[in-house]
Amino acid sequence: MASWSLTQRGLSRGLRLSASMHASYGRRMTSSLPEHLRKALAYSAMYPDLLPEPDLTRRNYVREMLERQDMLSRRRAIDIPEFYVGSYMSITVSDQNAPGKKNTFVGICIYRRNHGLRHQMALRNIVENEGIEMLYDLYSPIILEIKVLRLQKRLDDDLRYLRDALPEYSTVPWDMEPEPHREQGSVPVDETRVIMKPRPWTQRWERKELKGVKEWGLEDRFFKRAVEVSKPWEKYDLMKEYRCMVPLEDQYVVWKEVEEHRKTIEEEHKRSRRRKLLDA
Amino acid sequence: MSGLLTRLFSSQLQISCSRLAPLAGTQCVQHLQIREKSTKPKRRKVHPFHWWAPKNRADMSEDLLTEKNQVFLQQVAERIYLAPGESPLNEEPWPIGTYQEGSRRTGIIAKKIGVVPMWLKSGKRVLASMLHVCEQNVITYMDPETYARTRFGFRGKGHGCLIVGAESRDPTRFRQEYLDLFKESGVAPKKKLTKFLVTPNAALQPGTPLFAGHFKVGNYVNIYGKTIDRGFLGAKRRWGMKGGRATHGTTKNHNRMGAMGGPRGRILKGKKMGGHDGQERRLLVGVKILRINYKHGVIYVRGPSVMGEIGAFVQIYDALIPEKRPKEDNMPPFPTYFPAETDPLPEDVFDETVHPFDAPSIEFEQEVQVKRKLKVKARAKAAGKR
Repeated sequence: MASWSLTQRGLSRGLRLSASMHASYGRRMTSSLPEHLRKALAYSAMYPDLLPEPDLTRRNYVREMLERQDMLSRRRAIDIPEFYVGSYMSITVSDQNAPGKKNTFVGICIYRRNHGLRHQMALRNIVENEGIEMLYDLYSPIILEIKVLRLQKRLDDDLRYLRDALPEYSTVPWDMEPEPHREQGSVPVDETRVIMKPRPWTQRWERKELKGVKEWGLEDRFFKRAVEVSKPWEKYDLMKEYRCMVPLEDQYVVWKEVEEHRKTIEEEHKRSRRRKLLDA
Repeated sequence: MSGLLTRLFSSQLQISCSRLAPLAGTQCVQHLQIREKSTKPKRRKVHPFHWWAPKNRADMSEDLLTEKNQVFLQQVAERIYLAPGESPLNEEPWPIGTYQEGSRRTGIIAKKIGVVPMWLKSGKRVLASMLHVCEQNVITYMDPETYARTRFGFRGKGHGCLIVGAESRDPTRFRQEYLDLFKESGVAPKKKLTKFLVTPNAALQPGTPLFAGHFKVGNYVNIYGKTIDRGFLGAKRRWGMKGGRATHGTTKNHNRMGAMGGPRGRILKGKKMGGHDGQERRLLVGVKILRINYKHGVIYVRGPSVMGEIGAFVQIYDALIPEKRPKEDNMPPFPTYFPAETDPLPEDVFDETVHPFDAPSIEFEQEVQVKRKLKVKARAKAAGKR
C-alpha cells in the first residue's frame, strides 16, 4: 500500500515536471516505475491535448468521450506528429488572402495550452528583425500540414521568455529541412541556455525558476526579491497537486484509446511519411 | 390601486378598529400600511410555491432499515415502477396527431455539459454548447380547458399543458405527495419536472419517453433555464462599473461605484448597485442546432451563451418566431420521435455549414483572374502607344 501511494505521488509529481526534469530527476524515477505507469507518463507529455481539463467542477464524462472521438477522427484525417515545446516546426494552413491560398510558417513551438478540442500551440520566429508569433488551433480543419523539422525538448516547459531573450535564440531558418530522428527511445533535450535582453521585460522572469537562462543581466536585488516572494512550500501541497491533475483511472481510459490509435492510424501515417521521404 | 385601498379599508382595517375600540375605550389610532406591487418583474423565487407537493423527505434517519430491508424495498420499487427501457404505456396508445399550421410541439429537458469549438466549412471557428438529453418521460397531459382553470392557466392562451419529468431517482427519498404525481404515468419518480405548452394535436400519452430524435439538425430552438448563481456581488462585478483608482492616495474606494445621485435630490428606482447576481430565469431565442449525436443523445447548439453551469438543466423547444420556425423541407417528427427498429436514426449528423471532424482539411479554390475588357478609347490609346 505504502509503495503504491509513493509511486502515485511520484507519478503525479512527474506528470507536472518539465521535460528537463525528466532528463535528470525524472529518468531515475521513471526507470523504477511499472510499465503502465511509465507509459501514462510518456503519453501525457506526448498528447497533453487528449487529457481532459482537471477542474472537477467542469468535468463531464460524456463530453470528454465525445470530444476525444472528434479529436481522434481529426487525427485520422490529418497526420499530427509528436511534438513538444521547443521543437522546430512548420505549419501550412489554408488562407483566403494569401497568394496561392496557402500560408506556411516556420518557428519554434514556445507553448501549448488548453485541453481537448481547444488545444492551441504557438510558433515563434524572427521575421525582418521582428519577433512574430503565430497561434494555431491544433484541431482546426484549415491546417493542411504539420511538419516537425527538429524533434526536441528544451530545459523549460514554457518558452515565453524567448520574447525577452536575444533574437538569435528564437530564429529558425525558413528553408530548414526536416531532420531525421529516432522513432524509438527518448526525445533529445536541447540544453541551450539563452542570454536575456536588458529590462524592461514582459514578465519578471527571474521569479519563474527558469533553467534555460544563462545570462540575466540583472542586479543582485532582483534575485534577493525573487527569493523573498518565492513559495518553496507549494511543491509539498498535496491538494494543489491533486487539483491540477487528472486521476490515473481516468487517464487509463484515454490512453487505452490512444494505444489503439497508435497501433493503427499512426503507423499508417508513419509509413506514408517514410514513403514521401524516399520519393523526395 | 384605489380598488385595493377601498378593499383594505372596508375589510381588515374596520375589523381591527372594532377590535381595538372596546379595549381602548377611546378613538383608535389607524396604523395604515400599504404594500405596493413592484413595477419590475420578480427576479428570482427563493421558496417553492406553497401549493406544490413537497418533494424530499427531510429526515431519513428513522427508517431503521437493515440491509435486507433495503434490498427488499428496491425489489418492490422495481416491481411498481417501470425500468427506463421498459414500455411505459399502460393503456391503449392514443391516436397520433397530425401537423397543422401553427401547431406547437412539446419541448425536452437537457443538461448543459460543456462548450466546444467547431469549425464551419468556410474555416471559421464557432463555439457550440453541448446539451445532453436526459432520460425522460411524459408525466401528465392537461387539455386546454383543464389547464386554463389552473393557477397560471391564463398564460397558456388556449394551449394544453404537458408535464415532462427527467432523471429517475430512488423513490424512498421522496414524500408520498410527490410520488403520487407519477401514479398516472407509472414511471419511476423523477428529479426534475417541467411544463411545456402544446396544442391539443401534439398531446402525448403519459409515460411516453422523449429522445434527441425530437429535433433535427439545422432547425432553430429556444432554450430556457437558470443562469449561474454568482451570489452577492459588488457594483463593479455585477454591472461592470469602473470602480476607483488603485493608487494616488485612494483609500477604501477601489471597488465602489462612485456617484449615484440623480436629479431632484433622490436616487432613482432601478439604480444599478451591488446585490445578488444570477440564478434568474432566462430565455435564449432562436439558436441553431449545428449537430446532433443521436447515439448518445447530445445536441450541439451554436453559441457559448446557454445559461447555467455545467450540469444545469435547461428546456429546449422549437423557436416560435416565424422566420425560425421549422420549415416544410426540414420538418421535425410530429408530435415527437417514436423509435422504430426498422428505421433507426443515424449516429451523428452535422449541419451543412459545419465541417465534420473526419473530413479532409479545407482548401480554398484558386480564383481565376478575369481580364477586364478595355473600353474602346483606352484600347485605341494602348494600340497607339505601341
